[in-house]
This record gives sequence, C-alpha cells and structure tokens, in this order.
Amino acid sequence: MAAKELITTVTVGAGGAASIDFTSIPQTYTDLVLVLSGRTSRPSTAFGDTVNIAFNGSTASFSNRLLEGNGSSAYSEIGTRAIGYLPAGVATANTFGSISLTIPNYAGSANKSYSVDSVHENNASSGISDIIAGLWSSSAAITSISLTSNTGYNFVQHSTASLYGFNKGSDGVTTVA
Amino acid sequence: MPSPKYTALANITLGSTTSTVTFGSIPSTYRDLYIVIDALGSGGADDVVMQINGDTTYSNYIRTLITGNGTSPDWASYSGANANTVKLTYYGSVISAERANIQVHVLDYSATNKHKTYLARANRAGSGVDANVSRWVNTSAITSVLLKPAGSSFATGSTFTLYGVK
Repeated sequence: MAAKELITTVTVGAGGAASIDFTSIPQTYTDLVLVLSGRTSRPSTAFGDTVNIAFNGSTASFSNRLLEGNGSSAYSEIGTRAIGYLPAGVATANTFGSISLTIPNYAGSANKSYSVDSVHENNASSGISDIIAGLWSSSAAITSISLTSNTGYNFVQHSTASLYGFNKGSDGVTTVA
Repeated sequence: MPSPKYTALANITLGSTTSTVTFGSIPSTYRDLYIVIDALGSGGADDVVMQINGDTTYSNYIRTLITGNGTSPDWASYSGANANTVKLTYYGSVISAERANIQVHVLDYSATNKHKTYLARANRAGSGVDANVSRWVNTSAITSVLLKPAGSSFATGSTFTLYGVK
C-alpha cells in the first residue's frame, strides 16, 4: 500500500456546482489531505468568497482560529467552519485560489483537529493568505466532506478538488520509541 | 514531472503518558522528511520541542514564526541561548483538554553540504495557529528526531507518523 494515494478528484463542470462533495470516504487510511483549486460565482461587486466545510453532513461542533495577511496588514479571528477564501466577482479572470486541508486520524474516535493553508491572489493587486487551526468536536469517523460557498454561490467551472489518503507504516529500519 | 513519492518510515500511537518520542536510525535515502503529530498533552498548555541528532544546544537552532490566537496576530524570532529556538509551537501547543496537530517538513535532511531548514505548522483551535521556519545550524545528515513537550508529557492516544519523501 502506497504511503500517499489519490482517493478521488472532483472537477466542476459547465454551470458550476453548489458544493464539492466527497462521500463514502474509505476508512482505511491514517490521515486525509484535501487540496482545492477554486473560484466562486459570487457577483461582480465582491472580491472573494469564504469556503465552509462540513463533515458527515454536520455543520455543528466546529471551531477554528485563523491568522490572515493581505500584504499590508494581518489579523486573527475566531470562527467555525471557514477553511479559506477564494477569488470571485471582481477578481482577475482565470484566477483561482488554493486551499490545502490536512486531517490526521480522520477515521478515529477522538475529536478531529485539522490544519488549513489558503491563498487567494488577484494579479498582484491584492491577495490574501490564511492559516487556520480547526477542530471538529466529534468522535465520529469522517465518512464524507462537503465544501460550500459561505454566501451560497456556486463553485465555477474548472474548480477542482482532490482527496488523498496517507497510510502510516514502517520501513523496518527507522525506529520509534 | 513526477509527483513526490512518500514512503512511511515509522509511526507510534502512545499507549501511556510519554515524555519523549524519538524517531531514530532514519535512513539517508530520501530527500525530505514529513512528520505528522496529532496529540494531547498531559497537563496545561505546553510547547512541543524538536531536537535533531541529540543536539540539545539552543544556539544551534534558529527559529522565526508568525502566529494568531483569534484576537491578535503576532510574530517572533529566536536565536542564541534561548530555549524557544527548539520549539515548534506558540499558540498551537499541546494540552490535556484539546487535540492539537503539527506538521513538520524537513527539507534536504540527508544532505551533508547545508544546514537543515524545516517548516512547522501547529494548530490548536482553542488556542491558535502557528507557522514556523527553523534552521538547524549543522551540515550533518539527520538520523534522529526527538519530540517532547517542553515541561510535561504527551498523553495516551497521541500519534506520531514519519514519512520519507523523494
């Protein structure tokens, strides 16, 4: 079994998609990594759009702390389900943001602590970079992940998201104690 | 261009409270190392320390970080005889009441012609989020990595996973 395996990739087609969903996630890996290249259809008055996450169809029991920088200032805030900020509306055409989400021990019975890195760029005229510490306070194994726009708009065509599974193991040489 | 290949090297899930976790005899056949920590501490908030090849001298490490606690951004830089040089966390520390996770990327760990740079992202939703860059001021290949809370222990159920990357 490879240490890192692609589970599946979702590509948004013509017409967009209200959500990007990963369902029936195999419970055989150790950790999950989700990478997203995306943009939303939030109207032309808006610069960007926040992406929210849900596990197993639940939007409850999420908490996070975020650090954000935009090239001229930084700030930190407390939130719940946000995992980053994507271009939308007036952002430069053909410009997509990137989000990387890591969930260790997603199939375990402990609460799920996760890590997010997110970047949004707008052709050097503006940009946002976020790092996020998240927690889903649930003992349930994660079997599905759903991503949505915080403002209810669609992910646009050509947005893609890939889900990878990491497998722990041993090479028979390295020791740990 | 082929994608990076990950190989699982070692892992441990703690069956009891443990003061240190050490990955040893790390082979020099990969380019980078990737460490994933998902942990509870044994008491109050405590920073996680990483020491390389048994080097406990603070001045052999240099560290710079940015961090946020949900209210304010902050930053820091440490060098010299300062215990903070060997830490991976600031607000993303371990504690008994809440799980934290840390990912560490050690770049070119097996090279013998450069100091070792490593990046750490530490996360605890009830406290804050950190991004660190550190340098071990030594050209030796890395063969062991020790992880420990600075003043307490890791709790039962904490997990540690090491991958080699080519």
